[in-house]
Parts: sequence; structure tokens; C-alpha cells
Amino acid sequence: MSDRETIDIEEIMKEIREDIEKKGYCQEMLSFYNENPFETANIEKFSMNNLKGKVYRLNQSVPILYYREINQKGLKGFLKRILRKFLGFLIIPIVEEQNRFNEHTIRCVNQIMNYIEEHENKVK
Amino acid sequence: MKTKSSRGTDKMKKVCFVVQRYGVEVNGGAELQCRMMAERMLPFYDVDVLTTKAIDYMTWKDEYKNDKESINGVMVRRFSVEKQRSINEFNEINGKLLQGAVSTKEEEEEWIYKQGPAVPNLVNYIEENVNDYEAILFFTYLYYTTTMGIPKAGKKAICIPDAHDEPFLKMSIMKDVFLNAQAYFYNTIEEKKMINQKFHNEYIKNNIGGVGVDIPSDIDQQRFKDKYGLGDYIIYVGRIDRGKNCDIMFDYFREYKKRNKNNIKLVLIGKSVIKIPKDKDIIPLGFVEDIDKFEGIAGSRLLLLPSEFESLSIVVLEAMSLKKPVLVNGKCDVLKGHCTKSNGGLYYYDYFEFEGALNYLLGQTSIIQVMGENGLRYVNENYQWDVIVKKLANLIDYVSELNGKKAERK
Repeated sequence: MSDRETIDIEEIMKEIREDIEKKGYCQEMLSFYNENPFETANIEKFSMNNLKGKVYRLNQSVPILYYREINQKGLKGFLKRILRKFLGFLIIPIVEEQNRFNEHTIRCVNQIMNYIEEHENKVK
Repeated sequence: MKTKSSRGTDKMKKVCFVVQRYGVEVNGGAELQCRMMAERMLPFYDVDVLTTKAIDYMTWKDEYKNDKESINGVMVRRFSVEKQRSINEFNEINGKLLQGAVSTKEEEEEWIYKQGPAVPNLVNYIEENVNDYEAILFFTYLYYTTTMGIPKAGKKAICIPDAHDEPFLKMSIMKDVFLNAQAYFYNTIEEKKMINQKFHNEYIKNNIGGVGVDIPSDIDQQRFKDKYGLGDYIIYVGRIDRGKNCDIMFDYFREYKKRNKNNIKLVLIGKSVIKIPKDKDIIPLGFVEDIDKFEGIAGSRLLLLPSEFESLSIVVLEAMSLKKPVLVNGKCDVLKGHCTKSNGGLYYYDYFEFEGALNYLLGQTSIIQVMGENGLRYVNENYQWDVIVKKLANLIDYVSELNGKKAERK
């Protein structure tokens, strides 16, 4: 990256990601990584606010888009865009299936939340 | 130069800005944007602002005393909230909304009322006085003042949505906001694309605005460092809140310090609503004066912004104006867009990208200088007040002509 006029953020990010892959970094290396979420669940006391927060984040996570912007200029960017177009037939159905699954899962979780709240109110 | 009205008199035309809070004491991006725009329209129009008496956006509690006051030449009319926001009541209905359990118009109106600020008197004022104004400009789509106000403003409504992609846009009541104004003034192309995609309202007159950036001329970064006893640091500026991903920022930075031996500190400027970890490398300064904020950014190695939900981010533009690179959350299209369009910052999606990008920005001094120049160029090309004011005035003229009058400007 020696040309002072044309630094490219995406190229820099690509170098950083390649470095991460080369070094074999993974989430388990992190001190705040929760290796066994069930272990924490057994320790944590139930918190409705915590649950609502998690459900909120879950609701935010759909839908997955198969289409990703490729802003890279030049031949590499062009080839990536061609590849994106040609692989669409393979990727789109997989993404759609995943989105359907996610939607069903979230509806299920939302229904469970509604059930909890209804019954919480009855108990009160 | 004054132009005469159609009656041959030198009469200033009036415009009205509607915003949830207004005042020099008010912190908040959209509120500051409204105040900056209102004051810059003064050479061209008589400007009224309709707002609440609140300073605190959590409760909307009445704190300003006067019903009317002039702030820097702008006539501000304040209305008391009918009911302060109850966080418990709001969280209950909001929880239902987030789970998809709010579906009727009545429930959505209940959400809007509990979100607030509930100022029906302000909405009535709009209805009674709409003919006095060439245009009525509404800030921030998801507050009562905008959702209830736009229908009353009718053909005079212009909306500055300050929107980002969040569940509240799915409410059917938001169609009134995004389909019934006469014009829209978006902060970024990303915001416009997102709204167009959801509401298919690209046929409605619109433009891209944002804010201009004003940097004081007498910045002394060493003064800031001496005042707070600082060496090398990166800086976060803004509300310190879970909604801004500050909890994740603390996790990431503390992990970074464990894995990387250097003297870099994280300086925080802003009011905190969550607990800040007690760590010798995390230095909270609280809320500071504007000059300290600018000097703090100028003295830093970079500005860090972990938020996933921003509609513009004035502080990123300020950092770029000060030739400081930024490191932002890549999940926010607007923030990532600032980086990729300017080549003035990096973004991250997870911890390792955060670490890699931070080390890059701290290590590559010559590249950082180029990034700084790039950021400044980007702001100068896209976020200058004279350009933004001209675009907004054109939208006001457009709405005025729709209603059969030519806006006359001083």
C-alpha cells in the first residue's frame, strides 16, 4: 500500500482478514467467549428483561441477504461481481431456506414469550 | 437582498420546525441537527420551532419554564407533555412490539403515545396554524410529534426522518410518516435507500442533506492532554449506553489490552447510562464543553464508534474534519458507508477485525495521514452548510409552490 493517492479501505480490510485467517484466530481464544452457554444458563438467574433483550436481538437478525455490495474497483472487483451473479442460482435457495427457518424459529420464540407473559399475568 | 412579496410588501415568509426537544442544553444528534438547520435558515425565513419543555428524553419531564422564547433568533414555542413517559409502561408495550404482538392501529397509537413526547397541544397548534407557514419540517420519524404532526400539516409537511433500520419501521402507522409528507430530506444515501426499499416512496420529492460540520479555529490538542493528564489514546464520544454497543466496546478494548502490550488508553466523552468498568486504561471524562470535545478528538489517535444504529453520526464527520481516522461498526451501513466512500476509516464485524484494524491504524502512520486527508476531503465535498441549506430551501420552495405560493426569501 505505497501509493498515497489511492488507499482502498476494502483492500486494507482484506489484508486484515487474511492475517486473521493465517494466524488461525478463533472466538474460543477470547477471554469473554462463553464456551459453554448452558453452563452460564445454569448459573444465571432468570431475568425477564434479559430474555426480552435476547428476543429483541433475535428479531433483529432476519432476514439474511444473499446480495453483498462489492465496491472493489478493477478486475478483481469485476470478477467478484460476475461470480456473485453466477453463483446466485446455488446460494439464493440456501439463503431463502435459512431465512424461512429463522422466521419459523423466531415466531416460535415469540409465541413462547407471549405464553410466558400471559401466564405471568394470570399468576399475578 | 430583500425581495418583495406578491403584495409588494417586504414580508418574510415563515417556516416551522417540529422536534421533540430543542435548546442549547439538549444533547442528541437529531435535536442538534434541527437547531443548526433552524438557525441557518434565518437569513431566508422567519423560523418558528414547536417543541416540548423537556431536556431528558427518557421521561420528557417539563424543565424549561417559558412557553415562548427566542434562541439565537429562532422563536421557540414550547408545549408541556400531557403525561411524562413511564419507562415501565413503555417497556411493556415495546416488548410486545418487538415480539410482533402489536398489530392493531390502536396498539400502535398506544406505542406512539407511550414513546412520547405526548404533546397533543402541539399537534393542535399545527392544525390551527398550518396556513401561517410555507412548510412544516418534522424531525425524527419515531416520535409522537412527527407521527401525529405530519397528518395535521398535510400538504405543508417535509420530513427529516433520522431513520435507521429498526423494528419500529414495520408499524403500519409509519406509512403515514413515509408516504404522506410532500418531501423528504435524508441524512445519507444509505438512509434513503433503506426507506425507499421499505416504503417504495422514491417518487416523492427528496434530497440528501445531513449536517455541515463547524470546527472551532482555535483547537489546542495539547491543552486537552495536559488538562486531563493524557498520553496516547483513542476516543469515544457520545452517550455511553448499551444501545450504542458500549458494553461490547468495553469487552473488546479490555480484551485488546490483554492481547496487545501498548500504552493506548480509551477516553470516553459523554453521559453514561450504564456502568463503566473500573480499568486504568478506560478514562471516562463525562460530559464536557464543546471545545474539550473537539480538542479531545484532535488529540486522539482515532475515533471509535461501536454503534450499530446511526442515521448520520455527526461525530464521525467532526473527526474526519479534524483529519482523524475512524474505526466503526461495520454492521451499520451508514458508518461503513462513511469509511468506504471517504477511504478515511476502517470498520469491523467482530473482535479480531477490531483488533486487526486498531493495530493497523495505530501502526501505519503514513497511511493514517492519507486517511486523514481523505476524511477531510469527503466532509468538504458532502457536508458543507451552504450546500445543505440551499437543498433544504429548494425543498421548502417546492412545497410552497405545490400549495400555490412562491416562497420569498430575504
